[in-house]
Amino acid sequence: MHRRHFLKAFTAMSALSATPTWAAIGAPSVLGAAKNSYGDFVICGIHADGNIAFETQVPMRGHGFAVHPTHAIAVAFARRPGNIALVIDVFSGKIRATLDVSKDGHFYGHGIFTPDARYLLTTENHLHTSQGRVGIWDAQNDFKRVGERPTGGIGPHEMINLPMGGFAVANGGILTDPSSERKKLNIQTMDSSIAIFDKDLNIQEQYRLPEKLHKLSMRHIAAWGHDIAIGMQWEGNPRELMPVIGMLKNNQIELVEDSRDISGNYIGSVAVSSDGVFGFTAPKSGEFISLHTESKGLASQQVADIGGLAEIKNSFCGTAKGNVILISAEKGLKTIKTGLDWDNHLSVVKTM
Amino acid sequence: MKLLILISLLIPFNLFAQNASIDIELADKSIESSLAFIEEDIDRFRTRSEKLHEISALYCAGDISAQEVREALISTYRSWVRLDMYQFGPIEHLSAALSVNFWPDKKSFVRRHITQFDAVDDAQKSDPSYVRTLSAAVQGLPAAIYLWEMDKCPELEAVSGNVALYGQEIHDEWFKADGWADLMKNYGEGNPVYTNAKEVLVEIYSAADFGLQRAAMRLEQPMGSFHNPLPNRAEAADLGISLELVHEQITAITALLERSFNFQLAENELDRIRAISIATLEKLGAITEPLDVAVAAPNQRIPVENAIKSIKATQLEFSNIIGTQLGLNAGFSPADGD
Repeated sequence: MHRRHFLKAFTAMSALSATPTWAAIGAPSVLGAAKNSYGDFVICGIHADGNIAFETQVPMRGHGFAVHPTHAIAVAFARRPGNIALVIDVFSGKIRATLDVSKDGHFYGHGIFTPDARYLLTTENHLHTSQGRVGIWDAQNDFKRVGERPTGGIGPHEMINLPMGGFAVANGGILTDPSSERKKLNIQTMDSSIAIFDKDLNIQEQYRLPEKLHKLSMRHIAAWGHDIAIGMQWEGNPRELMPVIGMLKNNQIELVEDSRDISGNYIGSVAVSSDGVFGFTAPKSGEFISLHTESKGLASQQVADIGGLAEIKNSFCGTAKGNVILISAEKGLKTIKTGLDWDNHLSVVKTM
Repeated sequence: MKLLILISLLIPFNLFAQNASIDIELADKSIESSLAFIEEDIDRFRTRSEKLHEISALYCAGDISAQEVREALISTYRSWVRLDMYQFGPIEHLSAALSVNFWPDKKSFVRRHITQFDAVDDAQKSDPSYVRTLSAAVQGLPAAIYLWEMDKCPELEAVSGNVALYGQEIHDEWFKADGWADLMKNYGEGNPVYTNAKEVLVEIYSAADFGLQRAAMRLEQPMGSFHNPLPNRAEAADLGISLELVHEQITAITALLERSFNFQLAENELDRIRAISIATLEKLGAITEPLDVAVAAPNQRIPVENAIKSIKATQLEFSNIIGTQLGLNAGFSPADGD
């Protein structure tokens, strides 16, 4: 190997190799973004018992995280329509790389690592065409951008790895532009869809709701087996209550009618437990909602301000103002006071 | 005791203010006053856009001069820019922000999509409801300006008619029974959008804050970089009113804040708001060329930069006076959206 090749390889690996593994920093189960009592934006690790594993200051308010499977790396995405994402060593708070799409796009607050951890995939808006795209970044080469693929819609939001291989993207259908901050520019012509991709990021299938429901924005998803649970938000008349939970099952999306009266027209997060129970948060109505994939039974519990949600040890971990909430079918709710203002999402640390 | 005094002096005032509870009686007066102000502005846009439609029809019939259309376009544009900050509720639900004012038009979509009219007959070309089926780029004021310049009738009449339709729809959605104004007035449990008075006041304050961001952006977009200015992005440059629009927007924002928060703020704080606003308008006045000319002339870029800085400083000052003191900062909540 030539010296320059060695140096290049060494530099390329530095973002990861300079970062400790999850095990080395106490193996947190979940990551979340928050604001602490000093007004600092922080990223926090949460143990399975709901206690805080660490709290590291970060330079911006995050939305969702992509969590690296081995190293203590989280990619924090600025809230829509931010055009910066930071690759953060969550233990030291050091920025290992900055991803910038300001030239022609902005992020939508979510991303994932591919199952082999080689690539980071990010949901983005292409500003010139207003079409959604998936940005592809090489995690083993200093997070260099190496490609992009269309998502088949406007406003791609959450992206997930599918248990059976491939990926799914929730195209929220809502157009935003940095020149109008977070304002929604196309409510009258919204077109939301769920796009299913193969492992090479080619769209294989795409699912929509009937035209009369085009103001339902499908934004958050979780998968178990072949089923995908969908959390939505209603952009029509706010006085009209709509079901905002859906299931993509057997090649069609079915709305869960019982979610109509309890969701406040807005689902903030979706997660799934390892035994196939889907969990949803409805921050506006202050409800945690669970749906068993087999029985289709819907249950709900009042949890004021609940926002983030992730699976934790076969049950759920949620965040509400100042608190981490452990939610289990057997033990009910357990509240752990943290003194932090939690943001929208939690991300599971799934180590390889 | 001395230690306590010292500690109390070290704690910033706004720490107390942030937790201050809202006086409901004053909040209700603020909401009522804000809505009265918003109604005046929405009504102004409705009547001016109606007038624009009438004038365009007369012009297309050969009854009046192009100059009269120009004046109606300016008058309507000025009334729209006052509404630019209310990009929530009806304006958002109707997708009106983009459709009425497709700007910034980074890729010349207005000119590129205006050809959509070529495929249809004259009856459709003059039908405002047909315009609603076309690209947002050709539905609003920038398209009307272009059509006026190109002397294209009846398309000008149809696009003007579509803008007038938006004027009526926005007014109706805000002020009909059970409209958005009622939602803001009748906050509380069971209200699907505003569960308390503070959320309504935050909405009003956030609109003003957003409006200032947009005002700064109206100058930033054509600035580009020193070596690559983008004069084509100056808003409504063909009417020569780019700077006038920024002036109008800042004036409207200041008036909204005065009308909305005069019940809560002390006289010296209201004076401060007026003074900051006047200082910013003076900075705008120091730009002596039209905006598209100024950004391209090296010696005129500094006044434009100064005006941008001044708007941003205004945003910060307003945040200190209103956002922080009244505890109305946007906050940090999982229900913020997404």
